Amino acid sequence: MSDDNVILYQPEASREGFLGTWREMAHNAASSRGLTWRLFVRDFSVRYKQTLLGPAWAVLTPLITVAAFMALNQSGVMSLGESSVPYAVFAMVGLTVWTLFSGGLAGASRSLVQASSFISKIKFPREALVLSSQGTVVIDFLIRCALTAGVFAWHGVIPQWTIVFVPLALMPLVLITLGVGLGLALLNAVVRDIEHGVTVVVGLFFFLTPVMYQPPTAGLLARLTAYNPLAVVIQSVRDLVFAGTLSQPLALAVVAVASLAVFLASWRTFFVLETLVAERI
Amino acid sequence: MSGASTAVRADRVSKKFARRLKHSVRYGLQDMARTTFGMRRRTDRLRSEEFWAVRDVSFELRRGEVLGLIGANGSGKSTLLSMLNGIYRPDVGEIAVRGRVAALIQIGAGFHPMLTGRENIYVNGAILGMGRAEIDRKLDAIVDFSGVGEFVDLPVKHYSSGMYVRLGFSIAAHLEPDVLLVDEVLAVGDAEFRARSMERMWQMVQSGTVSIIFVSHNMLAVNGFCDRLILLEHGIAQMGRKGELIARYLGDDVSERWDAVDPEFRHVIAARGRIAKEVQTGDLEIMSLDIVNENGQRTSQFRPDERMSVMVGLRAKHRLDNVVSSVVLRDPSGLVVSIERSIFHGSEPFTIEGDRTLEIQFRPLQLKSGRYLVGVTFHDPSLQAVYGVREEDLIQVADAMPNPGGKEGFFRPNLSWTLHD
Repeated sequence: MSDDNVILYQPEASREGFLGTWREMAHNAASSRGLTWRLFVRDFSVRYKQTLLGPAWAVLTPLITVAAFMALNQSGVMSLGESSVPYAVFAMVGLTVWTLFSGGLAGASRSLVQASSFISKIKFPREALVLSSQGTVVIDFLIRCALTAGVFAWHGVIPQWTIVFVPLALMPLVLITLGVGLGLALLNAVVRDIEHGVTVVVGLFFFLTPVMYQPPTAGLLARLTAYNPLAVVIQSVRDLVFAGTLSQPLALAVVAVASLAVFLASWRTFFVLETLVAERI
Repeated sequence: MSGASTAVRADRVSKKFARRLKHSVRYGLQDMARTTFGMRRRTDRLRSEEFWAVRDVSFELRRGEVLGLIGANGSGKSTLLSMLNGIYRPDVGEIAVRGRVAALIQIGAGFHPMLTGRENIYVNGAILGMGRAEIDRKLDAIVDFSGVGEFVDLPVKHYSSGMYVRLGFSIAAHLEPDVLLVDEVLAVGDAEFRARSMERMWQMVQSGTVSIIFVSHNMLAVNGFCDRLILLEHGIAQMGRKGELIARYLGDDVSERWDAVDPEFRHVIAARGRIAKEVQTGDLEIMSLDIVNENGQRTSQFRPDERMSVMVGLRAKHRLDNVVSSVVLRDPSGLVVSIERSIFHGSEPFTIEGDRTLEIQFRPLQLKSGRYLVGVTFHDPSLQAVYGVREEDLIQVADAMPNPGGKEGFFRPNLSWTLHD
């Protein structure tokens, strides 16, 4: 059994021991890069086929959302708090970051089920499906970034130089999305409730997280916000864009470490469980 | 793995499934939770409403060998194949596979209808484990083999089901695997493509590098193509000689099953001369088969109104009583055009001893233009024992007249048309 060319299939996912499993996972991830890219290209090229507006949807959706909230604010139905920058600019930053999370989670949780026809027939690293589902989300994110830049220019707002650190601040959000997404993808393969649940819960979190409004300073929501990792990330991004200093660096550090732990635990679980999925999907 | 020449080894492999979706979901969640938290799963025991789909199967496949899996529907063939492919993990036992595995299980799985054939080749190739450079290199060969031609740049949703399958097969066939798993997938597609697919697999076997595990209900294909067989009965493997296993699988209704087997590959195997020399007993050897015209000349060209004789050279190992001969004509897709048995043509069962020549005469042929495969079978009157089979001789019928009614029909009766008052 010594040569590398032999693949073993046993009841246990891995006999390599704790560290060996990590090595296997890294090896798997490295070898599935090409496939991930190919699946992403596939998803991307069919995304706007048979649509009239095409990629304009990525621009229209946030514009309409922001416009709706502006109308709510103006008519006094909803108070969104005072900010130092025009509301449209403020909201676009929050919404752009938020959709990276919400889109990513929705895409990830559906990724395995959507491919069920060939998951049960072909052997390939399943994580490629989850990862590639994030590709279109990233493209959407970039389009929205460009749109946000346009809104900045329109209002004559110049961001702080610290905006260059935004990608770093977004890392915890990406890790949380991937971590939770990997887990939900597996669960959804076995119980389809997850897909529906994700829509509801993400929708709820959209209102519980200061995406479209200023972080609350009092009440139940303020306490919830303090423990909401998404709120921490969004606030940190706004700090970097508008203020030039982080208002809660410690919280961001905690979120970063926790998100890395969530991601690693989730990835490992996924690796151990992925073969159980094919027979239940 | 025991030796470098071993391609696949299965060691007491078992797999269980739940009978109902409800249990499947519940056990699925339980198993996921237990595995996640490192708790022991008793995979070797059945929970309620579970059953063994595959039980205690062991075998070894050497490089260059073709192993056939036969058995009724639901006997565990596809489950075993999925385990060998690494899609299902065995619940008990261990499988070791050497080298790259390709599966022709569901051809075209993963094709995206909106993408062109070319784009799908890249996606499907990547899913099957090919790198970009590898696909670039093989692209022309894949397109060529699939025969989709200029359609390659059309979205596959506009493909016919035949083109779809051809493209899918072509991608998988160019993987250059060490182990090829073939489930009964090539039943789709036209006769010509089946022929080419079979030929391609045959080439791979001949090169001696690939081992094939072949699932089929077509006993002729299985017998001709496979070196060894495993018969699965309710998940349990039966080993033995090919002839014995085929006879056991076919059971009592030999004649019915024999004629009803899918035409898949049949003519190709025939052309390859790998068709059964004997299915069961080997008491009777078919030494030669000559097709001659009414002047006694060997030929394969006939007119519809010509007589044709099939001369079968036989050698009996010992005196054999009660031998019945069947003669079958097939079209190139394997469809039976005619099957006739000597006892229904006023011929008593033969007694054969030593070397004999049997002449089967068509007086006249009465076939429409086309290519036909001539096969003969020798068996006892009840079809319990098959002594000998040969199905590898082609004839070409050419009519001076154009084929009336196009390709429809096979029979060209001798008609007269008279208008009465």
